[in-house]
Amino acid sequence: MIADRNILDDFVLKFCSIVEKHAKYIVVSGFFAIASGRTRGTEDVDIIIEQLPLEKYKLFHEELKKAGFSSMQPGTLEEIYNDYLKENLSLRYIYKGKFLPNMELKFAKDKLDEIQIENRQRYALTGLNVWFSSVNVCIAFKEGLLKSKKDLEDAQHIRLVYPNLVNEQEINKYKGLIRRYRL
Amino acid sequence: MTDDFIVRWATYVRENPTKWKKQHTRFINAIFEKHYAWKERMLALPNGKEKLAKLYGIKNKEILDKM
Repeated sequence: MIADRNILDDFVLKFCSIVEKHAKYIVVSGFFAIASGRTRGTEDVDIIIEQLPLEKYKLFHEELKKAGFSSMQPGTLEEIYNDYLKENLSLRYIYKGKFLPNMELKFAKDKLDEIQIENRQRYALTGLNVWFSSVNVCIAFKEGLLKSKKDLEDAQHIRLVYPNLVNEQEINKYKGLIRRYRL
Repeated sequence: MTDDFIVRWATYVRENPTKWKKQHTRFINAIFEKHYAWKERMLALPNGKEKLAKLYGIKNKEILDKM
């Protein structure tokens, strides 16, 4: 049993409890490492959701607004939908005027994102009822695409805390997909 | 932070799944509490709101008005 929750956890849980009602999603990258115990801060949490038509996105956006979230990008809903989400750019949502932490939201943009969403997982160690990309996908992105010192340390941490879930064959398969779709 | 620290801490997390979170929560919360205190000090400065908006790329007037 996990003892308690931090500011970042509360923010992510609030946001994901709303997303859950409107779309399949995954929280990716740094927050997964942090929720798994990595001792570092972050300003933003990355989330990928399945593509939604404008009408469905509107319902989701309205519910976020009612709950206290607002988009850092100005403009009408139609503008932010067409100028950001449909252009594969991210929207940043903040909670009750606090611009940290913020949620960086993107639509799934290619087969690789769809595969990640299909293979999403929850992890007991995090103590959070949140969907994450799989351990092996996360390691593949951090080692095969992002590669900064922070990302390589995240990957090292994830490898050490989930040794039974690490599968080198899977990681290499995802690194191949990253080369195909992202490099 | 050295690689050695990462290995030692990750090993602690893995081997103490019910204990690590309390210490971790204190660490994460401290980062944000520091930030919130800094933000208040910034807002108290002349043109503090504008400086913050520039620093964080905030263009949404609704958000600026609430700050």
